[in-house]
Amino acid sequence: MKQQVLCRLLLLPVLAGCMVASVARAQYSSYAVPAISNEKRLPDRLPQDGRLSDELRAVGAQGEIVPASFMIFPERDLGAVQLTASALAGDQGSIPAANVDIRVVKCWYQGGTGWHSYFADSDRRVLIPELLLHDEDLIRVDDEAEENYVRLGDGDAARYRWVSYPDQVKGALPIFNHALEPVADSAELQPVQLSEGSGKQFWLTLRIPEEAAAGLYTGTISLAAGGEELGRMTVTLRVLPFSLPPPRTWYDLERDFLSTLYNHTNLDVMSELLGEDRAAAERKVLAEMKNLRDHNVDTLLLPRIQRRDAEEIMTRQLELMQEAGMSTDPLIGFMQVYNWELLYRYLMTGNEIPPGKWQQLVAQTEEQRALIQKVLGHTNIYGIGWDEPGRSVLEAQLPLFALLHDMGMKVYSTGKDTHFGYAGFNEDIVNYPGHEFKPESARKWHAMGARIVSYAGPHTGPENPDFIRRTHGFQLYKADYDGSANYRYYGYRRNIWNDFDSESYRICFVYPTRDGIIDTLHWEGFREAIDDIRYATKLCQVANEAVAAGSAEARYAGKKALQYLALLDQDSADLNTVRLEIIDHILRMQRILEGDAK
Amino acid sequence: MIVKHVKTLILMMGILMLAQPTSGQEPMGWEAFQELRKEAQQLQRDKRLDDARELHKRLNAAVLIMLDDPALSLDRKVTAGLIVADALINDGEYDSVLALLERLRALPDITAAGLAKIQCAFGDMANSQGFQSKAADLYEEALALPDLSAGDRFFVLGKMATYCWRSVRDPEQLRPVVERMLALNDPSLNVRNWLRILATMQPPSTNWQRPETVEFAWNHFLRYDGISAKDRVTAFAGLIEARVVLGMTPEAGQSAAAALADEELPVATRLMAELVRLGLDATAAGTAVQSTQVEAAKTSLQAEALDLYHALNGAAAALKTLDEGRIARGYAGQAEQLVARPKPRYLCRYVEQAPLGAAGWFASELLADPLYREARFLDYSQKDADALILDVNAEREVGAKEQDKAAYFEQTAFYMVYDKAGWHIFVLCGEPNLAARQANGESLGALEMYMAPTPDSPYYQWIVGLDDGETSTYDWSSPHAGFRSAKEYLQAETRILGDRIGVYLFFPWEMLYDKLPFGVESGWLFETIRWSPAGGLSWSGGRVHNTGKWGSIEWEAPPDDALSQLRLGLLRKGWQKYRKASKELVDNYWRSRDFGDPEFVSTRLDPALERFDQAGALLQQPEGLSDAEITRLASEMLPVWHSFEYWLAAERRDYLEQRLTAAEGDGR
Repeated sequence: MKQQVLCRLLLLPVLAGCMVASVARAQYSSYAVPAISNEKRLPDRLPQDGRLSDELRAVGAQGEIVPASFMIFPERDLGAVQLTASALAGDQGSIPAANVDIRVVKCWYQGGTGWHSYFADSDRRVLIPELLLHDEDLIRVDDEAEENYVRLGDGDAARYRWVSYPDQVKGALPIFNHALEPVADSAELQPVQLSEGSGKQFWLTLRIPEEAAAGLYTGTISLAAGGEELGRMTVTLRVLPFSLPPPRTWYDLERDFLSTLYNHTNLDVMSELLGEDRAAAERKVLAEMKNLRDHNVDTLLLPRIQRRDAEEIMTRQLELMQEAGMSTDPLIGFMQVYNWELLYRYLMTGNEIPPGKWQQLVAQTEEQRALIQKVLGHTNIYGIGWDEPGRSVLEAQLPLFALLHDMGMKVYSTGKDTHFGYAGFNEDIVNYPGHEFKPESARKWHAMGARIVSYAGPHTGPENPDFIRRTHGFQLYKADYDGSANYRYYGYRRNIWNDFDSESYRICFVYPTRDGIIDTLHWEGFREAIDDIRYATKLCQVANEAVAAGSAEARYAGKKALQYLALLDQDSADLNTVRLEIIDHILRMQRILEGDAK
Repeated sequence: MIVKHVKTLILMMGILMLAQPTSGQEPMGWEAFQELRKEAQQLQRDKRLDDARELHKRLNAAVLIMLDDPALSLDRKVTAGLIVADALINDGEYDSVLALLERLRALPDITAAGLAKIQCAFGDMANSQGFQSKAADLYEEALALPDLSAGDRFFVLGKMATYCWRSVRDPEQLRPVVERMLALNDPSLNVRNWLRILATMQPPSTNWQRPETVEFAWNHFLRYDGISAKDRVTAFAGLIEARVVLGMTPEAGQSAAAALADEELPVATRLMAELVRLGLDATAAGTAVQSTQVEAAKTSLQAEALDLYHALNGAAAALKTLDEGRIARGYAGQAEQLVARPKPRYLCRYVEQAPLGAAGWFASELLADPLYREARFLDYSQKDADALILDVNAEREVGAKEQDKAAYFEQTAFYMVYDKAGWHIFVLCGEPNLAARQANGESLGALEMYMAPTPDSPYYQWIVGLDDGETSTYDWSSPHAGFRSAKEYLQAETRILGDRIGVYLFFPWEMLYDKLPFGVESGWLFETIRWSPAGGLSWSGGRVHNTGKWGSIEWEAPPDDALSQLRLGLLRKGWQKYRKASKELVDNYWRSRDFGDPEFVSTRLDPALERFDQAGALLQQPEGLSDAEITRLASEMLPVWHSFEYWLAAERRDYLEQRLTAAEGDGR
């Protein structure tokens, strides 16, 4: 008996937490894997959470951008393999092949805290899957020396630059200007080198059109080398009979969940980087804004602009945000509320601001408000206070905050629980740092009519997409936070491509190029974080409808859905499963509501 | 305090009396004016800006009278007026500034130089008011005034440069101004300071500096005589690096040769220059720089190891953009080798029963056994190069803070053992002034500790406050099947005995059942940083989150049957955990009438649960299981039993995914 049990256990397919469909081809093995996962998918590591399968399954709402992923482990050297996606055909139409984007997940060497932390650690090198590339040769990796190189230019002019040099040799010059250097990914997937014993992860981004009919869609991804088809992955996509609403808070379904980031995506910075080539700056800013919008970032934290042409810059910035589909109501930033001279010269030293200086500040603030009102038609504006102020700085800013409030505007400030006691009355959005998201903190600020958002819990940088998804999504949502305003999109490093030239931080979500953005696993994790909240918002909306519908069946289905959300352990639940459970609840409620309607 | 206030009062009264315009409109003398100006400056330094502002107003009134004083020279009138105008601009008293400047401009016989300075003051005011374009125009107008000497023009250009530097903060706008300064072609003018500013200036929103601008600035800077060796070090390094980035390799080589020939420069800089030169030659020839060449350069310049370390890194910095960093990588590697030091290792030994709690450790004989004591702490964030200046360190005099720190080095140690229950750590923190510190309410500091059971796994971080023993854990991953939060498992206790603080930490094996350190290649990464009142000391000498520096915990092999007993213990706990979780999640939820899913239970759960239960039954008679069978059972069942919720979630995910993408039905 004992032997029988042990033998049966040996055959358990479930031990790695996965179901195995026994598909293994002669040329390669393919695994369908969860796109967002804690697992580092490395060339020499079979996925513990994958299915040995040539079928990819995905589920998404109308208009949603849905990730899916698979790994290929070649049984022999396959050479340069071209992966081509077909259109996805359904009963009531199709989704064009152009909406099925395939990228390879590039592994490269990062600092010792890679995958886990935003603290820099240049004393160790670890192989990390991170970049989503159409052209895997954009980055060249030397596994033996554990070095990275980025390609500059194309074709015959292409050359590589060493971008994993250590901190000690960073030198005096900030040598990499991402807006100028000719680094660019291809628009479409290029042939991928598949070698025996070296697995590769592929990333699908499925853009479901808003108008796509609900139903099942199927298509293929073919793998071919030297004119010969090596095999196919089938793609099965369920398009759900609903679209996703904008994210709302858990505690109040009428309140927007703010999704924003600190960023360099503004014309001031880009103009500076591009030697005042305004047209190029606008192109780059717009490309970044669209990338941000595609990843559920709804608005931008805007810096104070101090240039001769500030008015023109601000106007165009707002117009570009609108063009990219970003929200500009409320508008956070631009407003000249903090001022080093006024703060440190007068307010913090107990001296009065000279009338001339004060009048100047009032005039400038009025001018900026008028400009924003002219472009946007509203004055729902938050001025940004001094970053991470101590008590003395915060209290010194009170006259400046009061000026904003007197002009009908509001105040955004980084803060923490201790701020509440002495500054709770003058902050309208407070951004809390750190990993602990406490509902009791949220309650306090909400009681004042203020809103609470989060940063540094963690900062951007850890590549683990599940970690990012959880900490920017359900953990904030269930703690009754009003949003995520993390630091930052990119921009901390001297050379954006080098993880080893800093002893402090490795903060970034993406890698900017001359004409766009290189997405990453963690950046996709952020999108899913906000999509989790959008799904939860949808669940709450449908549940409220069901509860109000009248029948006990609908009412109970609605309450059960809300109960599921309330019982959900946002700290440890498997978020891929949670997504499907939420969909299951929504569909069940819709079915009941449709039945009631009939 | 009272005395100070009285002194201040007397001073103020004196100042105000001095500043009062005399009743007969008698002008203030030049010396009195200068005295008052100094007092105003002192008030500003003392941050008494309100008082300074009052004094500026009175100075303004005084100057307006002085302007009519026939005994005062025109030059002094203009100077006094501009001094006061500058102060009033800073105070935002723009109307007064305007009136004063207009009076100055209207002075009889005003010179071109005076007019230019007055015009610049108008520009300064516009700039202060935020009218940057207007300011730039006003400066240009000043420059266009006729009959200006080179010195006058340099003054105006200086104003323009300051405006570009401080207000616009744009090196690309500063550069043409500096070029106009150079075009004055007057060696008596101090353009070199502006060149240095231009070479090192970074714009406000980015840190981007155009290498062309840096090259231009340092190249001109180095043409001046009398530049200090320190400044030449910076300039040569910047110039060489910029020229390599720009592909100006012949010019970079010339700069390197010039630096090498400059015998006043430090040896490290000259050696760096020689290594750059060798690197450029090797790049052109497609060859490598031989270690013998490096050694010869070192010998020729009589360089020390530390010089070589800095020279290699400096040369690598200059050459890193060249030829995919081929030569630079070699130099950087050689530098790294110079400072390579072994990582600390500690052997964690097996004991049948570890001391329990801080009190248990204080009473334990292990504390007196040097075999278990690890006290080789280093300065926090010790620089690699420090390894090369040991002799210097030995000779140097240490300050009081460092003397204090020596006591902490002596009295900080950790001890570790493991047993069948888990991993036990005891950190002993001697505090020489413990009672006094406590009496004064001073902080005793904290312990910051890290651990990673594999080089690849998420690391654990926890901080223990030595005042109150409060322990905070920080997770660097979401919990999942392969990672459990330390919050759930870590036990910590802090006790004080005499002048020693003892911190006990315990990690049960349940937290790390899938990371047992036996029969594996690598040890566990480990770091302890003590934030003592005299500063930080760390086991590895590294910084926070500096995983690359962390030491390694090696694990003594357990005695014969201890490992099986340990695994059996984990299996029993896992089985209990699974039974509880299964009842809660399967029986109470998935089998329930209100929440359940019969199809999911019958197709997915029941067959698997039957197998799990059968495996659990084997634990009823553990004596019948061989070591190999226990090992196999552990490897297969521990992940399910200890993390049943994740197994269940994965099963459910697959089930739902399959149902939603099934051809039949609408996913519902």
